[in-house]
Amino acid sequence: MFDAKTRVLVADDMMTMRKVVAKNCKDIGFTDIIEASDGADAWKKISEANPPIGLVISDWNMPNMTGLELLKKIRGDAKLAKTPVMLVTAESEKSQIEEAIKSGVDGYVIKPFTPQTLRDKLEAIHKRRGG
Amino acid sequence: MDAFELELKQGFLDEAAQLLEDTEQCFLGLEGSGGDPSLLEKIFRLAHNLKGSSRAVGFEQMGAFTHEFENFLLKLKNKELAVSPGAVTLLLKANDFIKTMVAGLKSDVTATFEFADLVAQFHSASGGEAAPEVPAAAPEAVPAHEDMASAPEAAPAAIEEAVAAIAPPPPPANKRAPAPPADESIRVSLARVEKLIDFIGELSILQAVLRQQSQASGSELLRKTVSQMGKVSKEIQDISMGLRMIPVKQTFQKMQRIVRDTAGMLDKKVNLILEGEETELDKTVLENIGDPLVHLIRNAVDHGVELPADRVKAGKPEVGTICLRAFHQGGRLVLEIQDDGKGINADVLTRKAIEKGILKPGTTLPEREAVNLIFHAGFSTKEVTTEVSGRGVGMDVVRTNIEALSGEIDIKTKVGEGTTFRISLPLTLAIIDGLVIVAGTDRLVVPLAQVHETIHVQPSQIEKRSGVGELFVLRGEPLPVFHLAALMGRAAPLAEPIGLVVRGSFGTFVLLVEDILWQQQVVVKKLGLELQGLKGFGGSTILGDGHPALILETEEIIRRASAVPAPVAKPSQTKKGVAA
Repeated sequence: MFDAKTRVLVADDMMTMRKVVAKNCKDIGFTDIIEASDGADAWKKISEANPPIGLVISDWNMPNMTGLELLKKIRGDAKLAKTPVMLVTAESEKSQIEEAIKSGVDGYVIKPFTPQTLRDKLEAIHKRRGG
Repeated sequence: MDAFELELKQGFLDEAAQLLEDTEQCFLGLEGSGGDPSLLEKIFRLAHNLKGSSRAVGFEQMGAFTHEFENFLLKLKNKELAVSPGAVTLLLKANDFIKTMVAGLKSDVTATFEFADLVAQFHSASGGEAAPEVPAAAPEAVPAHEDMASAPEAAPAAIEEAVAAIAPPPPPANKRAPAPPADESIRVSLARVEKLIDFIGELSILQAVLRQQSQASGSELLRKTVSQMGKVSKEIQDISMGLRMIPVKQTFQKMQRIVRDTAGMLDKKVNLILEGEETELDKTVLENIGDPLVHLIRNAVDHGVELPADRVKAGKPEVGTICLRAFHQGGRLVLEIQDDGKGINADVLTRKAIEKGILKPGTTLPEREAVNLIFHAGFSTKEVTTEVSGRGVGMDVVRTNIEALSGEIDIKTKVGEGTTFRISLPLTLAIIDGLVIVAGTDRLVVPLAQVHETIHVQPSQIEKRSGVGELFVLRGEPLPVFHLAALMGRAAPLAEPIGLVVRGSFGTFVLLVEDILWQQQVVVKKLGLELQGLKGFGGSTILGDGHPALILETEEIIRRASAVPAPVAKPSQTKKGVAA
């Protein structure tokens, strides 16, 4: 599993969802959680973070920059390209997942989810990453 | 339900209410723009976010409804359905319903709702299909939402391959910095802000007392420090008062909807222009001005703007314009409701007033006063009272409400060109300008807004008329006279009293006081428990010299006096030349 000290960035334009995801992250043991209020805010925080962000959990549908655009931006950046990114999607966005996969998403989770589901997904990502 | 869950639910409801407010304009904008894709996108995101979040916090019903809402929007977004007025009306209805849900859940998180009817309307508007869960627009979407919480998504094989190619994550960071907050603003309950303001009020009172003590002490150093502290404390007070100020934007934007609905009902075409939406006003004042504003806006659509055909006949554009604007002027907030309709005909008003017995036959009034007849209780000039508004029904209430806020309302009108209602309001009710006066042995504060003018009164100018009481004739207008000291149970008519001319909701009168000491801004403090039964006083304050004083409610104290068998003229009889 990811180290509990991994710095996690949670991006969602709905404060409620951010709090839910952040709480879930806390519940599964993460201690360093940063929140971003949309894609652009997330990108700013990711590119400026020191120590760096070790895991991005981002909503799909956000103003200013969507989760997919954020993902592409991260993958296109020499320094940040390897950051694990997980997208939080609604069932209606499932059809678009393929593009995210092509763009190099590590995994996705469908709203609403339980801490256990999130944990399982992250575990899977970590394994795939060879951790 | 644990504390976090409850807090989360309440947080969601606050956020949802805010989102709904922010998006209301988009719904109305849709019609005008013929379905602007960016507006549709924004509304879609609203529905989408509400759906996701409401389910995440456990509001299943809202999740289910917003799911239907989202499906309908998806069809509009994908151009499978046209953005017709009917569709917009349905969207607005749905928006209202979500607001109702949010409000209902706010007072009871276990509240349940009935919305089969609205969902049916979504379906019939979408082409009458019966199966709600699998809309034709998105066949690949949505299993029933009951399954969502636990349903593991069918992970496509592709993801495994894609993921395999990605290198391991960077080493986890060791050092931790505190996470910066995601928002640059925070929500604070009004109760907390009020508590803060209350204590800052206490602070400035102590400050005044301290200043006097320091002056008595003779220590130059102490005086300087206290004076500096005074500046800081004034600054804190200004800032804290600012916390209660909110932009008029939300209140203004609600009017778009009211204009749309009202105009629709009356077959009129009206464009509402909003100006100065960012202008700020005390929250309490703003809340209380909402209803009068709705009334005036409805009136402007109903009685001001003409039917399209009549407008064209009069050489005006078919679409009427109502402008609602807010701006600051001379330390007050001014709201104007301006229409380019038919204006108010003073002659017609006068004639009606005579018919109704409000004016004596043969009376002629200056145009300005005649126009003000619309504020007379029960005055209505429209032949048929529409369900939208009846001018006169409520206009007196509008004025009373505005005056209760220490505000004023004024009309400018020109027949054929339009009418402007102008409301002037204090920026806040927590600090008022007051006249410090002497009545008997007491010093009292009279809110300046209640005093129209002050006059020197010679006892010989007061006429005693049997059955009417004492009168003072001011520029030909006989006004009832009251001795403030006597009203408060103190003795003695005064040798050279000063008269405060007060215009109340039930008429103009003269209140005699011994002296006016000075004018100052005072912080209004609520009366303590032991004094709350005291009628005629709106609160208390501390004067510049550190002594407490009661704040007088002139009308209330007169009303109280009038209730006992007292020589009081019916004040409305003498009002502004209306009647004899």
